Amino acid sequence: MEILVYGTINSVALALYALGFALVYGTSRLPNFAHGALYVLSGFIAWSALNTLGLPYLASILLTLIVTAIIGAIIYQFVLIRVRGMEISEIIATYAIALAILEGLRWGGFKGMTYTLPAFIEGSTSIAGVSVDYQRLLVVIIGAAMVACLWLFTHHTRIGLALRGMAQDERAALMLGIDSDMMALVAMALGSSLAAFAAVLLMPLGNIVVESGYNVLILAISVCIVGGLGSWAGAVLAAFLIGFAQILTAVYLGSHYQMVVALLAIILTLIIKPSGLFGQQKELEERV
Amino acid sequence: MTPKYHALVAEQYDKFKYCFRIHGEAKNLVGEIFANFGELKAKYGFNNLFIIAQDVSHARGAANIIKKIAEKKGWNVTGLEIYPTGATDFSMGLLKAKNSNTEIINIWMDMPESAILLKQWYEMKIPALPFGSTLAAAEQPGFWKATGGKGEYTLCNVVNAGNAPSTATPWTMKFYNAYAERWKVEPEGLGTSSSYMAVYVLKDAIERAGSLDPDKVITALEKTDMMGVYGRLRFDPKSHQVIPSTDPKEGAVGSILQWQDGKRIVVYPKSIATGKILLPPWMNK
Repeated sequence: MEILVYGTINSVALALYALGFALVYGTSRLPNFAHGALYVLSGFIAWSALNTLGLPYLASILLTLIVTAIIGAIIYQFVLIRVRGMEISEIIATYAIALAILEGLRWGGFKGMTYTLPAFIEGSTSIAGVSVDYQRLLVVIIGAAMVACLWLFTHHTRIGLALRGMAQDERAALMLGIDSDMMALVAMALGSSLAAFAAVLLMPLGNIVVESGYNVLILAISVCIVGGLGSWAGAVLAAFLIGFAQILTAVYLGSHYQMVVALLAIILTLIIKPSGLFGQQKELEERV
Repeated sequence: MTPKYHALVAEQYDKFKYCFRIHGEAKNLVGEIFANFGELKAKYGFNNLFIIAQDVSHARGAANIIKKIAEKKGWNVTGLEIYPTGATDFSMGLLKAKNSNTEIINIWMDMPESAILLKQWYEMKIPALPFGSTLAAAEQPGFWKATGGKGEYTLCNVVNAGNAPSTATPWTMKFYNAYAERWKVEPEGLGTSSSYMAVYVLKDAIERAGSLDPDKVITALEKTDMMGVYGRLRFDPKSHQVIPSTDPKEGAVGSILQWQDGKRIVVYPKSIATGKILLPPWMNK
């Protein structure tokens, strides 16, 4: 039962880490290596809004989501738009932005263990004899709701449909009058906002530390590669596969090997099925 | 803090005679930890120990040593869980400790994420006392704020008195308060009071030597005998390690503290303790 409960929590957390990355790559083919850095940055934005500006918690969260979305849009409009389509340059540019954000935060004194966000609801309960705190339960509930909202957004709104159109065939979408650059900007803003959403939901479980930016990026990439780059459904399924594999590893082999699971998943996927579970890059299979 | 360091001074005196360590060392620190484990065993009947360590050489090595000593002393070591540096989820290790009826979780971690471990311990109401040998997060005055008070009942060893408030000597609180006033933070970690005393001890030795000649200063340092922030400071003439004691009148005293109601309460050694070890309310003993 512990494996079921904590496996589900871990899986939803992984899905939350990865959704923003999957959305940006899925629609605009931009590998946003600044995703983990935006996750950490949004944690510090929320902390500052709460502690420095003295805003109420809900207002701090809303402000964080909006500010991070704007930062994502700015990154696209002033940096990524110039290198779009040049894959190596996209990776170098986004990774450079990640380093600038994370190391800039460290340089600016945002280090140590004193930065933390409060839990939405304090306390814990028991599920079939397994003790779980309310914040973790909220992660599962809100995370599942977020996946559902994202599905509704991409299937029943004009912007969402335009994003899906881009994801399916950018040239065809252009011919239908969808502004490719505008949609990529929207995807980047939305993806950044999803990173912020994950941060405000998950960071109350721990502390806001710069180092977690690198871990989140690795986990997000791992989930997206296993699920298939560009596939949101694949990302959710992969999050559950890796999430449960991590918990089983921690229980039967030791917590020390937990991170290896994500890295091993990347290697195995690239060897066996490079396009991932639901990937659309069939040319990768053809090369193999 | 390794015992190998001062052993080297004794073994190769001519080469390492310039090295003096005014700070406590690991062997003594582990001895202090087990003195407390022994008391908890006698008082509450504790017998099950779970060890959590960080995946770095010093912590892995220390965890294995603690495991060996604990087993030798009759403790049932219910598990040894190693976490990579930067880990942010400790739930599985904590559940293992809970499921094995562990009563004490010994922690050896010097990463800031150890605060997360203790937050999770509190939120999951794990019925085992977290006792840090090296536990960086809990050694810091900001720990209470970092955990939102969920670090309550955590114990850790800050190696020397003066790194937490006590009246080990008349100098202890004088130093403590002056430091807090000057730096706007209480003495933190495990090396603050010893770094401070090192300057005074060296000044004293130079004055007694009446010279800056290295050999004369070394001879004077070997004869050091002064009361400092954490007790009587003397060096072993062969190993140049400060002589430890549980009585500040006899030697350098350590400090094990427990977080109680937002304060760092020294619970060991008894000669300087300002409180007793408390168990969390969910440990029904």
